[in-house]
Amino acid sequence: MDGIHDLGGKAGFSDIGFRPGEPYEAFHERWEAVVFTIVMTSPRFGAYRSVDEFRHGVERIDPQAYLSHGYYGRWLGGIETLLTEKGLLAAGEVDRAVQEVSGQVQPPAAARPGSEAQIAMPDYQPGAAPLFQTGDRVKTTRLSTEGHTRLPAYGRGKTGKITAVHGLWPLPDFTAHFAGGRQAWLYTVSFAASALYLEGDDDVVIHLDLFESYLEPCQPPTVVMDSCGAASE
Amino acid sequence: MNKPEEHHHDSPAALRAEALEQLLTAKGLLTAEAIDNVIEQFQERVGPLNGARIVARAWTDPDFRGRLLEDGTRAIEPWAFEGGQVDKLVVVANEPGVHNVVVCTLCSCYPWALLGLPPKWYKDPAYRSGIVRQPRRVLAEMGLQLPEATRINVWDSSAEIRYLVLPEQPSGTEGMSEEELTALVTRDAMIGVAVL
Repeated sequence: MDGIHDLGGKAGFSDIGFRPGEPYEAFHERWEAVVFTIVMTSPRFGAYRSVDEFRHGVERIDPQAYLSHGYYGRWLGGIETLLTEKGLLAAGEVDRAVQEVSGQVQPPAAARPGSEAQIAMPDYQPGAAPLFQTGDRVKTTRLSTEGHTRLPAYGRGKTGKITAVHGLWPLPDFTAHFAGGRQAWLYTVSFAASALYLEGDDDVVIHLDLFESYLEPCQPPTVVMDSCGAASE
Repeated sequence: MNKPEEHHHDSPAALRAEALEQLLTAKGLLTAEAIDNVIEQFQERVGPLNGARIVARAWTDPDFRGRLLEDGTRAIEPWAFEGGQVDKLVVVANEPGVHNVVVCTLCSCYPWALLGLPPKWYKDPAYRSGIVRQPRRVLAEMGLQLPEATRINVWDSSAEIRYLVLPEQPSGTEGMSEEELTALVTRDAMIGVAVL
């Protein structure tokens, strides 16, 4: 989906907040570990089936919360969305509990239960062998989806080269929405930054791991086109 | 080792997490013990030290280095690191004139078993948005000035492959033991936002 989570290449976020040599700390506050534990253990009681269903839950939270609540705040919004959608929490149950815990009425939650789009089951089926080999040039699909996908917007409709073939992996576009599982051939596709951005540097290569269903072959032209795409005799 | 702070914060997310903890505990779906175990696991047993051990081994054992770059998943199998998120590991080596850096623009994918949980900046929008667009500028902002001629590979972890940067061994450390070298390797260098 064209959500706020799809941050690659977006301008204007200026403060990275990097502190060189910062010592490792798994969690800064206990509540972060609480959220982490809930997310890691809740597939056992049916909150979600696949990591991609969870990721899609996070992608669907309130976009302003996505930017301002931090990583574990986003995870909290995602897991509350899924727990509510699966009937493990009643609507408004967390709001009431917050009031009991803190005596405060909270600003609207990050969670967005019921926000999943009704999408058609992807029709991709993997062949017995991968369609592409290392060295092949491919073009990524220009189309976006309201569902979950792992093709970032900055990589759509772009030409790159296959640099690794990783075998069959669960297809996130399927497993985020449907039970049963479906696999797809997975590749590393490498793009010169100059193939992505007008001002892109030739000495920068961006590597994306992309599923076969996102890719089209770059075939030699069979019909001569003029520069506007019309076939000429 | 640091324990996460216990005191109450009134950020909306912190309050809400506390409320959710109470609800799920009352429903029998969550225990304080499970939370304590997770904190202990990710603070005591999982962290960047695991990645550093791999790097130091690669520096001292050319045969291991070859196997690590050929098939990272298989090369690290004997360690049986816990923590997950390395279903398939690809190790990318820095060399003179070539620098590698890792990101996840869509969420915050990261090789937990080798580096622990990611630092805040890795998960926040500024790094995730900028490093695939202006890597030279972003790295310079983070204190890493790469020569103009250095080629940069940016690895955007968009599937389940996890990436670890094998930094170049600092000059003058050739005679050091694997253990001494392990202590030199930083998380920042294994993500690729610093060199050693």
